[in-house]
Amino acid sequence: MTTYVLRRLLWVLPSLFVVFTLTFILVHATPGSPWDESDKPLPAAVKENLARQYHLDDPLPKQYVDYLVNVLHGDLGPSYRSVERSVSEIIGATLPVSAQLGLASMLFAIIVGVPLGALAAVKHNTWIDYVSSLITVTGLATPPFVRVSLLIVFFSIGLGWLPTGGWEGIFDSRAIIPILAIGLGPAAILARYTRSSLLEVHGQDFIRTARAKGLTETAVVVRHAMKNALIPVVTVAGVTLANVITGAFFVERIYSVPGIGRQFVDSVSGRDYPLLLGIVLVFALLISLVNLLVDLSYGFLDPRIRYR
Amino acid sequence: MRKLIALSLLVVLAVAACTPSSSGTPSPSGGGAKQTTLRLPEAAKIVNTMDPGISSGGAGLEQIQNMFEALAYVDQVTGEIKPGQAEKWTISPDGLTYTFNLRSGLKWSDGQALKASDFEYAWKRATDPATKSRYAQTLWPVKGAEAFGTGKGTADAMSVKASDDRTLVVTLERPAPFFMHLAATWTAYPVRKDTIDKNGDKWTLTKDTFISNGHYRLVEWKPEQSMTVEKNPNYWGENNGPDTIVWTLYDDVATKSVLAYEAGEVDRAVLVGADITRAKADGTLSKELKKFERQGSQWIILDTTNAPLNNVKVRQALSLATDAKRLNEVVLKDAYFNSVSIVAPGVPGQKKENALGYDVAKAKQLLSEAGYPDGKNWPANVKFTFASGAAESKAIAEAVQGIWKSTLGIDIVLEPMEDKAFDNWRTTRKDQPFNMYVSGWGSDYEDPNNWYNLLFHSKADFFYAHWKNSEFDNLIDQGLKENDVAKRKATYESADKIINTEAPYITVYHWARFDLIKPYVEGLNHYRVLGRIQGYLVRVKK
Amino acid sequence: MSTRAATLDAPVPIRRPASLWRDAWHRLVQNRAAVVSLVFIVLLLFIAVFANVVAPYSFEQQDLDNTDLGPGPGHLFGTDGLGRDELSRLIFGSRISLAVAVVDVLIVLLVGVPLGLMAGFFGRWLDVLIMRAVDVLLAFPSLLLVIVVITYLRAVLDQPQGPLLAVIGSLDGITGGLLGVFIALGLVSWLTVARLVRGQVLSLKEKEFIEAARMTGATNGRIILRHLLPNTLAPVIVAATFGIPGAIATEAGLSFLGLGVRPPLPSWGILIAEGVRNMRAFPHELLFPAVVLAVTLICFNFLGDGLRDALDPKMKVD
Repeated sequence: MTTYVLRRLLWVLPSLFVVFTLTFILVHATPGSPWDESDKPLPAAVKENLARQYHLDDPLPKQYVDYLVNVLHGDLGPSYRSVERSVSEIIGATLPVSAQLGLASMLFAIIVGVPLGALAAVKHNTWIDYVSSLITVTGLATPPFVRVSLLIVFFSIGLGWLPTGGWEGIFDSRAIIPILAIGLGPAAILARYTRSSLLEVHGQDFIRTARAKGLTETAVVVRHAMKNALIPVVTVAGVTLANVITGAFFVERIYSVPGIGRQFVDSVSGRDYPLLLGIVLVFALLISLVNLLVDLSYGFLDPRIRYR
Repeated sequence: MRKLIALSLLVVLAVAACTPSSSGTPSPSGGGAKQTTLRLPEAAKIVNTMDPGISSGGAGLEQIQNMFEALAYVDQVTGEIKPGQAEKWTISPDGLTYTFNLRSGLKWSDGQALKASDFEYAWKRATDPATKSRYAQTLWPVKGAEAFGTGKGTADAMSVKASDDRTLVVTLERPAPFFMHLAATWTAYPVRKDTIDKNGDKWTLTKDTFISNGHYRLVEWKPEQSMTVEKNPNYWGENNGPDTIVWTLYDDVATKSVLAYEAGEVDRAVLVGADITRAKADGTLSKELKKFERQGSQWIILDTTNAPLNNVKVRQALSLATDAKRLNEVVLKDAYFNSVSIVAPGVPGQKKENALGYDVAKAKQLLSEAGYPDGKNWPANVKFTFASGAAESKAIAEAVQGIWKSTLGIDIVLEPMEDKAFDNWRTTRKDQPFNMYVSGWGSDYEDPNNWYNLLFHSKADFFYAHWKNSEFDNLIDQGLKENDVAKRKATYESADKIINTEAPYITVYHWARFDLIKPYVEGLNHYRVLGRIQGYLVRVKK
Repeated sequence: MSTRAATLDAPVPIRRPASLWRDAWHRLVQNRAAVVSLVFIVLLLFIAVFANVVAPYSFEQQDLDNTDLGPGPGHLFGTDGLGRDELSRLIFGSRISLAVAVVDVLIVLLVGVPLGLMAGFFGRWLDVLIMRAVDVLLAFPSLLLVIVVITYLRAVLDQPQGPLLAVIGSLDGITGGLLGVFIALGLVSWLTVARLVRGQVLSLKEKEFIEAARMTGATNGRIILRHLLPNTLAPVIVAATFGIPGAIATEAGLSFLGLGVRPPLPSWGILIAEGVRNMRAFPHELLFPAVVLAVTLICFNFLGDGLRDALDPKMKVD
């Protein structure tokens, strides 16, 4: 088991390296300088000076190596567009926010989605199944930016219950709309995967044995079916978690949450290379670790699976 | 299943516990009287620095202007230059030397004395290439500044000197009648050497390190979220404005500020597009609408050396066929002011009568004379380029495409570009051909130099229209040196007629600000040049 | 009815040979939601293909005297900010969304399946190579990868062009500016399927019927095509159907960011983006595209559900 974990961890480094190199090439090949601003065009001399000060006029291979060396020393570089904060500081300030929001949304998705899916599976092909399918699919059928806009109009303007934006920590009322907007999608996905994998498991022998032993339907579901059904669910949860953290930027932007997704999109359109590269590295690391955790959790859920 | 939930909960709690809790709303300083707060929206994406020496003057300008004061300032109602930190100044007869006398007893927000050397330090610092200022060229009219700023000179050779604690002497390269405007810009604000030396780039982040000299001083800055300032007790003058000002930052400030305004979270909203229509129709909101003039023009810029737009009749035809009224009032929902002429109204030299106007019959005739009757023989692939992120540009592009097709029978191809790619493409147009693109300009200060000479002189060609007219050039060169106000105006007016007739630019609209302002807020004004809100002029009656 | 055991003389009732596909179709047809969804999707395809005939107006015809009208005579779904008919724009917009769906499925089938098959079957270095590539690409958050690719492609194509770029540029023009979206989707959507197929192949590889086939002298190619492929198709079809809503929603999100289709071409994403902006003043501009998008996504989901239920040989039909 330990060797497996170690081997997986070792693979993370080359993956990060490849991701970094690809991003570096792609981003520097994209035309556009960080300081062109269409609303306030800068004179050429100013732009040249800025490029020089930030070493953007060095040959590309040198920039590449310089950046790598800095990263190995833990220095992710300055942000081109934010004078006061370095890349590490920006990531350090925004990543925890996105992480909190992402985890809370996943929690919401699990608490709402899994039982809903289980219910649908147990009452398979009845009206309950169809209604819950309808509910869950509605969560899937609206893009996140539509969802969050509708939620704001409904809860903030219409009912006046919630603020229209901002962030004061995960336990504040300002987190409610973001969690809902982000979590409804994964909730729907989890519900449907729970339903379908429960149905698959239902037909298997050990379930019939459990029923033959005289257990109630609930006991059958909870104690025996669920554990096995959860494997694909956990896979999906893992993938969705990573996507949730990184992809929540629509919600971050519309609801003014200072998260890292927003930073990524702005750094791409703003050509803020160090910030972009820093975020990409962090994301890649995060996703690899989440995948590893998910794979390890299989071992807990299905004792037949063992890692050499 | 249970383990999964428990694990998740633990992780959430752990992460939450490790994150420093955000501080609550700061309490403003002040006595027992009721504290007034003005709550304003601001666009988040672009506020990237509060350092006046570095800022490009786009974002963050409003905040900077409220926290600092220059030697002089522009009156936000009359546009006059008024004494700020300097109580008076004298200009030498040859127009080259300015001597500023600072008021006595000037203090910084932390109580320390403000001296003329602070100005000298700030101006040299902004010009220094190592400071990475985005607006360094403002001070280049000062002798030795351009050399220093382009790396060819030294700081000492830059001619700004504090001859004593209350006197600042500035010598220019050549006379510039608009120099006082430059001395009033943000790049010329004084800054404190010791806090910058100690804290480097981070000096603008906290209230202890952000030392300023204006009506307000920093309380808290949460990057990308909000900024709070309070009255500066050490400011030399009177401040009857609100005790605190809070700016909340929004990514899409137009849409979000309206939502926040209606939820009662901000006292002002920025309006564009459909929200204007809705506000006009709403019983309450329609009484809170206010439209402000802003001295700027948005144009379709034409490459005058590339067919078919190299033919002046074609350009005139396009301009005459562009229904400016419809464009602004219908397509853009009256968010702006209808186009009058190329240069914005209010700039000396601009004359309404010089403009071509709107005349479809004439347009058709001119187009026919140019060889394209009813659009026949019109080349394929005439491209209209714009930045895809700019919603206004897209609306204009699509509308104009439709209008020109239905009135003139010509087809143009829309070419939206990713924002930065557009900026880059635009920069390369200096010596590359194109057909047309959308861009605009707003006054930095109200003077013909900021328009005709800076943008349209064939040597400057700021927007790369590749337009060259020697008569125009001569006129504005003359106007630059002219000291007599009336003569200057007349000279620029003649130049104005030429450029409008030659039509290298088609004005789509003139800039404006359309606000919703709460009824309990008085005095909130946007002066037509730069137009940022000066908090100390506002009264919050709540 | 005779209860005697069948004798050699009595005729044995002949049943049509059972096959996976026929049984699956049977089960699918019994699922009402899936059937309705299938009908809707076919209808949508029809409308998209024959948009020119079906739509009452052209998608770019402006009418500046009749902007932002609500539903009414002459305009069933109202007009937008330039007076263009919303219904027509929706109809033409379906082309883009369905094109995205088709491309997504094609990539899944033509890239994901073969790679998964090869990785699982041949194993060793090929497996390692393909799977590591999958891992690296998966390490990239998909939407963000899409944005980077599109930004790069857009920016590069907007510059002076060499011959290669000119070809790519015209491809981009044909696809209405969506080439970047297709490429980016292409990079991302095959990953999960490749993994799925590889997993299936790994577990099937050791089964008896494969050994039997080998013993009768079947070549590798034959084994892959005739024995492995049909057994992996079921989860692939399901994954493909589930991937479509994601692809369409991604296009909507990208159009919201201004990185989608080039104006004046309509797509549901652009219509929704513009609708969100005008949401409170002219709600109909958001309502209709959002509902149409939602219904389409729901139909694809129900269809996917139905396919999964139908193709699963272990499922008990109550």
